[in-house]
Amino acid sequence: MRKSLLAACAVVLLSAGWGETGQAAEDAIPVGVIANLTGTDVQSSLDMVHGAQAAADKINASGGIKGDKIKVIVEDSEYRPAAGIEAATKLFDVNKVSAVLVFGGSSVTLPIAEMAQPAGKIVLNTSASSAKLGDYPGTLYSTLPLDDIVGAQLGDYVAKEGVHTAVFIVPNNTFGTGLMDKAAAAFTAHGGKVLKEIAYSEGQPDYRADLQAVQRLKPDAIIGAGYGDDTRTVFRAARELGINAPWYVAYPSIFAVEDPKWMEGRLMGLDNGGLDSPLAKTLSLQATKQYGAAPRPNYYYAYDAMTLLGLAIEKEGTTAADIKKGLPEAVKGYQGATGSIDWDARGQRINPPMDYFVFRNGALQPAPAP
Amino acid sequence: MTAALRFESVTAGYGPITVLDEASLAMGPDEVLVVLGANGSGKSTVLKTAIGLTRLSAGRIMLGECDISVLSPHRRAEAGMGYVPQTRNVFADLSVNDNLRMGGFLHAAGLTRDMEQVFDLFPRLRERRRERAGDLSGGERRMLSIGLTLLLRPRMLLLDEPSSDLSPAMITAVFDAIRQIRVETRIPVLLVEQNLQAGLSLADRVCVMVRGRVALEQAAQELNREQLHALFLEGGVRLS
Amino acid sequence: MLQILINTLIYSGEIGIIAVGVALSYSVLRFANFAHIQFAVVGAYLAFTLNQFLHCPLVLAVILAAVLTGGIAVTVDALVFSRLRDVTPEGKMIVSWGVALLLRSTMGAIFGSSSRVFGLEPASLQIGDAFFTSLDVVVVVVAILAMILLHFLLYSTRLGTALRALASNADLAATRGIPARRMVSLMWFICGAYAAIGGSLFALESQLAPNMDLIILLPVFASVTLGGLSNVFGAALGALGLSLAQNLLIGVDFGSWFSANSWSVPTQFRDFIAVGAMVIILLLRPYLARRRRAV
Repeated sequence: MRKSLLAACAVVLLSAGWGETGQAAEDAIPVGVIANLTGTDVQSSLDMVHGAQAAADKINASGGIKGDKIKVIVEDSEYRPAAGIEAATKLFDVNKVSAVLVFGGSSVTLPIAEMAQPAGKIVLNTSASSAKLGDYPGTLYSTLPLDDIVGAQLGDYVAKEGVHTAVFIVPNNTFGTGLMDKAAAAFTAHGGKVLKEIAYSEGQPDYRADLQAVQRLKPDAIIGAGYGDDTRTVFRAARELGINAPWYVAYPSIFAVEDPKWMEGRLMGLDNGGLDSPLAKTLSLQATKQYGAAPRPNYYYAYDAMTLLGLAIEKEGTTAADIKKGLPEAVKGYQGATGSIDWDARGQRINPPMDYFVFRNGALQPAPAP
Repeated sequence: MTAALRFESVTAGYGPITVLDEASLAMGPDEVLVVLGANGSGKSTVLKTAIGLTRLSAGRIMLGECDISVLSPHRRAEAGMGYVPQTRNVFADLSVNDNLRMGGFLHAAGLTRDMEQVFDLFPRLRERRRERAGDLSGGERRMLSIGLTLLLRPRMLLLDEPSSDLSPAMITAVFDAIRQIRVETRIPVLLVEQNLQAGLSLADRVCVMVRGRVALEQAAQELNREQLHALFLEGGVRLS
Repeated sequence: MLQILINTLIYSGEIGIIAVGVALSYSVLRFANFAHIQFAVVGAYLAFTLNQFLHCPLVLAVILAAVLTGGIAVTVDALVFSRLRDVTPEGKMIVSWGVALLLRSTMGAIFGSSSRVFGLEPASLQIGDAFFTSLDVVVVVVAILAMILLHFLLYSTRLGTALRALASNADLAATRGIPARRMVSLMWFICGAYAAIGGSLFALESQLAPNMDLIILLPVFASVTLGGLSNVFGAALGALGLSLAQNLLIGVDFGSWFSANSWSVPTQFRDFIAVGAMVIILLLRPYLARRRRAV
């Protein structure tokens, strides 16, 4: 009796599922969005979902793609690789989406790309920046530049600022050393000399021992990457050791400044830019009206990803193979919310618009480009 | 007359092991009671139980009119019981001076004068007062262990095999010291000994332990050597 | 070189104050107390709370934190360790892990997992080409004073001598009228207070985080092992030796010996010295013990 009841339930559930996907295939194009709706960094994630939705709404409002509307299906990754994989599996197998937009760190995005590649699906990365994401050409496309690109930009920037000798200080992880390698290559290509590369282990209480070499070598500048408490401890060690060289860093907003007085004018850096485009301004106003606050940058990266996806589908069709063919076409001449997007052969963003900053009066202030 | 120390059917041991099995004995207020017995007969345990270092599971221990069965060792020391263990009988990591100071822990006032008396009794210790007790010879250690017990100002002494591991000359010196203490203070002494001759030279009365029980309790003069021998057939006692 | 010596002093000061407590409790109770590290963390958080939220002057906050942590240590003993008198040293050690985890999660629940800073702005000082801060000077001075005070307590007071007597021979101490329970409480108080001072110095020099215990744990236990486990001032010397070895390893520019390029051992290898020292000492222990008996 119980067995047959269970079977009946299963049939009902299955048929419901069939019905949904069947319908979606008829008059809507399903697109997956994987975001962490629970877990850490939920607000940025929600902004990303809103951005993707805004782009889909715009496409649907103008009549959809050849009459078919885009249907956004959101799944939770909980900022855990396992949950991300589960969400992707469900979207690919049950909802039959051809492409997913992913919000999350590299720890979530990489496994999804790893499973999407053999499945022949498309992943649009809107927030992760690990250089390893470039290893999935034809599967993973990014609307923000990866760390290797930003690293090269950093090396160019420091050289153009007239720095001849530099010491690198980065955390000893793929983010830090990956960025360092690209920045060092770009810096030496401009004739700069790298005196020493210091990769410190994370979470240490004190970095004075690491920085003592800098004291001896007296470089023109320190080039760095890093984030959170460790950067504060690093700055503190530099201050206490009397190291007065200026710091040039990637993503200065994720650094923790230790002593604002000492840091005044000493910390400079570059970050992803292009968010001052007219489109971004319009979107910002719209989102503020809708959600009560100006959205974070994730909103714009997701908006561009969804728009590019729509363009690719319009050009070539709805299957993953169509989209793969359509995306490089779609990006040509595209002026998005995050500026003009150039992709290299891998589908990774090059020559990205960069914003430059300098730390003054207790906060990062916009600085002119070199 | 009330006994200075009395065991009333005492059963005691260590952890799960029972050593004393309903042992009863009494020590008069001015006598030397020598506890004899083969190895493992429980004679050292009599002393450890008296001072409170064993687990007491039945019976009572009376100090004069007081039941001290539940008192902790440091309370029994406060009550005037001076215990000298056979082994580990000094603070090896402390200097001779500090050892004596700890012996007089309960009597800080007048400690200097008391220490001088100990040095008079054992002049060797005076020479070595700054040395680590662990570096002393066996005989010196024994002297120190008795000396630091005297600083407790004991009203009775519990001595565990003061002759063990000592040279004959040293045994004589130690027993002379005990005799001198007796002459000066008249305090009762409960003495556990393997060395029959040395033990009997001091004894007023003798009790013999066999397998955790008191098999014989007798005045020293009335002691029948043959009977004693029979009780010791298990060996381990020098009867020469 | 001067810089290496200065760094050695600072680091060994922070570690040494914590390590002496581990050695002290080992000498009396014969087990490695892992909860001790947590006393350092608790003490640091108490000092932070008193200083930042209740606006105590920093010195007073650290002293109060030391007293309070001493009280916590005594309470932990009364609730846990005093009931384990007949348990093996290994058993007690495992229980101390449990206590450590409890204290750790309590700290995490109260203060959250993000790190906190005292926000001091010490002055930068310079001797020759060696740099240090006024706070470093304070750390080293406090460490030296704490060692002198501990030496005075243990070697020149009646209670301190009694504590050493208890460590040397517990049964003999008890039968001399030394109240073991009260002395053990005193010992826990000293341990807790010293851990709190060490933890506070550590936090002042870097930052407060619930996971700072993991950073303290290894060097502290390596120092205590180097010092011979139950030797209080051996632990302090162990901290000094360990710190010197670590700072020499990572501070010397080995690259310049062989070429024009600068190369030194990456600092993450600092912990390898601690582990290596522990392994060597533990391997040599039976041999050293034999030698000592033979002498």
